[in-house]
Amino acid sequence: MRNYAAIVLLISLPPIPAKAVEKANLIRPFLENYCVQCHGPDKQKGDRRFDQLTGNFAKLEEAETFQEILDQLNLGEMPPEEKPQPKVGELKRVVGHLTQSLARAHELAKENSGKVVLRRLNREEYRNTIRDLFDLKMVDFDPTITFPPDDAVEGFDNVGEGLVTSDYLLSNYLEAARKVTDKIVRPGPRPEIIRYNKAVEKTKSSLDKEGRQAAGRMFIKFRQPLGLTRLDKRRGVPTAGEYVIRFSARAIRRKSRYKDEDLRYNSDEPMLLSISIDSRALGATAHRIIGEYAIPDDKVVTFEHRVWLEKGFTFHVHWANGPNGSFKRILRKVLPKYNKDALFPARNPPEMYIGSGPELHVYTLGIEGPFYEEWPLPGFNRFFPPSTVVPNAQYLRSCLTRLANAAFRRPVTAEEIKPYLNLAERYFEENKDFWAASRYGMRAILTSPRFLYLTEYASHPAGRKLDSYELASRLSYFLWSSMPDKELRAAAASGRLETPSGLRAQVERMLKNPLASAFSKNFAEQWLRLRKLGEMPPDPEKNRAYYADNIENAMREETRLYFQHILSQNRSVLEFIDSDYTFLNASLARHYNISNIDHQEFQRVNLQPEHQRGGLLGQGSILTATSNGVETQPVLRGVWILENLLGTPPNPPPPDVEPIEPDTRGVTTIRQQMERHRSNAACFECHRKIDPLGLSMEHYDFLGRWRDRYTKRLPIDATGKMPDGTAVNGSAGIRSYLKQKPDQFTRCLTEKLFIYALGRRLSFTDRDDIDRIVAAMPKHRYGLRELIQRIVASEPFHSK
Amino acid sequence: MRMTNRRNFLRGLGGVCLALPAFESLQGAESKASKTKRFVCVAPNYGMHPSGFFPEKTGADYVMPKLLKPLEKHRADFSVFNNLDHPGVGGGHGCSNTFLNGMELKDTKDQPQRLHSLDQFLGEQIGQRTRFSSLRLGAGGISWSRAGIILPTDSSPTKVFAKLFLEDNPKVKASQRNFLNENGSILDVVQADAKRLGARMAKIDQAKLDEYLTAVREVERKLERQAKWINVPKPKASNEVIRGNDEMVVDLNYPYNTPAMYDLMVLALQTQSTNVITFGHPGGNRLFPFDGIELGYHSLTHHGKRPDLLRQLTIIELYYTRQFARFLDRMKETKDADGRSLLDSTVVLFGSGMGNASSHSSRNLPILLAGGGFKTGEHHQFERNGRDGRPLCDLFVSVLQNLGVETDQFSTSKGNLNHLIA
Repeated sequence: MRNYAAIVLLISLPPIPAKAVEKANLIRPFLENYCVQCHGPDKQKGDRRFDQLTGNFAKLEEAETFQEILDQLNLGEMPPEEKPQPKVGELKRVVGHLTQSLARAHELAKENSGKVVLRRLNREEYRNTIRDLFDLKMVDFDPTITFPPDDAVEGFDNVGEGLVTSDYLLSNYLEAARKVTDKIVRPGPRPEIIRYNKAVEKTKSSLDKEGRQAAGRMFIKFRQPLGLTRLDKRRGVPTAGEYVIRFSARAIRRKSRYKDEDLRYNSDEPMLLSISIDSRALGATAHRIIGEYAIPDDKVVTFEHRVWLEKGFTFHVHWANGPNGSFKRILRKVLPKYNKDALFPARNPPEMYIGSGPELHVYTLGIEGPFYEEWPLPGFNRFFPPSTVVPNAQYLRSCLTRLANAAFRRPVTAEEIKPYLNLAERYFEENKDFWAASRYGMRAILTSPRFLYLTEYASHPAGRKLDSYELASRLSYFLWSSMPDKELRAAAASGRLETPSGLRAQVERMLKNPLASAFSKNFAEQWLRLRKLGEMPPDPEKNRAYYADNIENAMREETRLYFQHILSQNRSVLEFIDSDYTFLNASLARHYNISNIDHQEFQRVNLQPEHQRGGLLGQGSILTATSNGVETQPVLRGVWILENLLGTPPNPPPPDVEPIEPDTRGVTTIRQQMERHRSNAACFECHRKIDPLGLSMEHYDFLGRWRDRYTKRLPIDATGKMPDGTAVNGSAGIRSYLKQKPDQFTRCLTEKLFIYALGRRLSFTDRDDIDRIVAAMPKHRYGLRELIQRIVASEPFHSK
Repeated sequence: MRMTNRRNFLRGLGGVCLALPAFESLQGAESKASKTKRFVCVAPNYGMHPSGFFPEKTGADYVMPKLLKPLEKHRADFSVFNNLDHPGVGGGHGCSNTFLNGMELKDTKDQPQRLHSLDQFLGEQIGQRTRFSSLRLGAGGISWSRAGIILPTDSSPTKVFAKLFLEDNPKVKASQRNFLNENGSILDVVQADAKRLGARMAKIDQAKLDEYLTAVREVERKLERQAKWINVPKPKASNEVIRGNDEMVVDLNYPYNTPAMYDLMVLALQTQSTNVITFGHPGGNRLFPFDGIELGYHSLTHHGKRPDLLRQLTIIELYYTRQFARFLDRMKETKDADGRSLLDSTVVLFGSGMGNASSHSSRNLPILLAGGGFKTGEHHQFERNGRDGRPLCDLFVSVLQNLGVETDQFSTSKGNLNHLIA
């Protein structure tokens, strides 16, 4: 009937272009037969409606809708398996036609979308840029400590759209610039070396009164710190620099007459002396342990520890594993058990204990410094090279210009720099203080939008193509989260970056550079949504080992090393889905119940099938971050897989659907709780995709440990059926399901990399470039480095 | 100041905020002799569980529900509101943050100024004559600036005390003064440069630079304000509020620092250091150190109606209301400069952007209103219209008018609640 009507139409109308006729015969009937019942005037499942589409691919919204339709057909997700399916030939024709039409539409649309919005440096990028601009050690110095957090868009905090500049942030920039310039500008000769020492003679016997007193002065009473009074009185070291801390110590009577339980002490461990640093100005948050040393029994040993200290920092030594609790407790509670003369509960004089129990004696303690590898410091010298003349206005101008050229990440014209130079010069004229004027000019430069934003002009002659300097910045913030280094800058200046081989060589070099660890950390953490690991910590009473063994950090480290390994070895990205290895230390192996691992440092470990792990889905970091510290959350895990591995995130719950208040009284398993999703049609739409994935992961508990059953009586049912009909069972089932879609995973990862690399959302026009990249990966064994090279080589990366 | 200008400005001029209101013209002119001068908002991030918070009957003779029992002695001085919420705001965790602006975050992408929160707006209106236009304490996330940024808070009682009552020494003040001047000149230079830069950029980038320029102008204004206040000595207050004394021990760690924070709030109002205060109770999965608590706070809010978990959650929420009752005591006892009790001249709002935390619902928010000379002592229940109750912003409009702000609209308000409470 329909065909007859179509033929009649053909005859009666004036000649129509062949393609339009094809469309009328092909797409519209297809939509009517297979789509419109659920996505039409009567029902709009998933908020989608297709009966009003005109087939005009030039309209962006229509093209986007057709792209979605094409994607769902390609994935086999639509029509849903229980509904009538198109015949194979029919499907092929429709898919072919849509693909072609959309490719043409992309070309048309490229002019008008996919632009990177002016992007400011985010907090970490600002910090790294300061570090690299001025060659600073940022160990106890963080000028961004009061900065507001950055908003994430599509999961990444370096997307221009989300990076807002508020007045609060700008005030912070002004203050940070002041702190940074105060720290950098250190003219004058190398600071004098200070020495503080204290010593006690070790020849005195520890039995006579003087000897005991001397020992008492320098013996570390359990957990109390021992330091240098003179240093503390002077409020720490006078200036930032490298210092050497020296001490000599001896462990005495590690095993004594007192039982370990009474002293709350482990006499089997060697005595450990730790060094901590503190700043009175910064308070408790600045306290850090910088080293730990095992002290041998009955022998005096000397140690030296080098450390960079910021101004105002002081140090103390501690007996890290000494008896726990107070000295008072020993005297009142422990001593009477061993010494009949000890009065209980009255006070006992310390002499009754000293000389009988374990003691850590320190004989010498000192600090010397500051030392510098180079003076003047490189960061200062770089912009204020030594000059033979007394600093004057001309020197001021040339130094500030040098800084602006580096800080603005491109050569700066005289016009552009003039206002900044005038500001500093005026100050110099009025106050005659050259260094204050320099700092002032530097502060202005560090508050300039040319420093704070990745400026990309729209005025390049070839249209929207970036110039070499803009490309260099984009590249260095992608791979290093920081500014270009000298070599990259030189490659930009010489034009080498404009050639494919020159660009490729730079990317290789940059990926090998240690600064690329910023890429591993920032990209991987945000792709895998691991920043929220630690927001829902498990109960400390019920999970002591988790805290004692520092499992949270270990889990993060496992994932970081895994990503880093795949990157540095150019391994296949499919190893993110599944592999037969991971990185473990002894504590994490214990947590995973993997035996025979006793190395405390992280090493690559081969996995056996009985370990039930492999790939990201077996890693505790992800399994814990998708739980809430008390129980697993299958919906969260399912959504995680859809968003970050399959690239098909579900719609958020519609705002006008009131969420049901969960009633979990009497319900035994989480699968039963989630049955509710099936009975409500609006919920089922999305949950049919989410729940099977999440429930299949139920063998991993809320801390990522494997469990065979919930309890003795309750088994785990980890089976499920995907929307396209595939049955999955357990995480192994999910892994094979994902491995059957290597291109889908690769596309998902490529999309995430695109967003992070470009600092903007994906647009419709990126499809072609992403398609080309994904299609090329199989012949490069899906290598991660190759993927990154291709992204850098792609047109969007070179365009505004 | 003409109401129409302000109203247009409140609604936003479509697109990025282009001009700052002329605050200078507000100063020196009392719009009407408003008896109420101050505003305090206390906001628990995860709301209060509904079955323990809302009374059964409406009117004045309701039986005090479990969570409000500590407030029994203040019955006549506060009202409970049932079925107030923000239309258009979805559930989840984001709704806690938009309590004071009634917006759904993703709907404001192109117009961030719509996120300007009630307390910050009040800071502009009634907070310009005090050292601090507003004090944001405790956990953050509810105060949004005019640029649509969440503003940070102070959660350390010692830091708050220092901020309010400790003088910097003259050397520090001198360097602060210099710094303010210097920054002003830096801002002149970078502002001009940004304009020059913008001329070479695509339209979408110019909007981002406008954001930067707006920030520059705001900072300049704030610098001027700071420069004025540097020379004004701070009020004096005894540091017993953070150190304790023979009778009172002060614990500086959350949650036990809550009474100290409330005491600081009373002192701040009494000494006219500020007229606008917000105080947030944080969310998170903290294990509260109270007897009987065995699970983290967030886990308890997902009680699934299990009685033992509800019992534990009640312990935590009772702590909030007990401390709030103590705050109302102190507000009643303390007199302001005009000799009236602080409670009479202060509007106090207790509530949250989260309704039923167990289902992440933003509907039917737990709202208490006290003080401010309002007619109080009743439980008011509104009708529901499909998904929405009565707009909470209607209450906000009544609050604004009570505080002397000439406006009849705020965010998603459709009217006001004056007929019930004014």
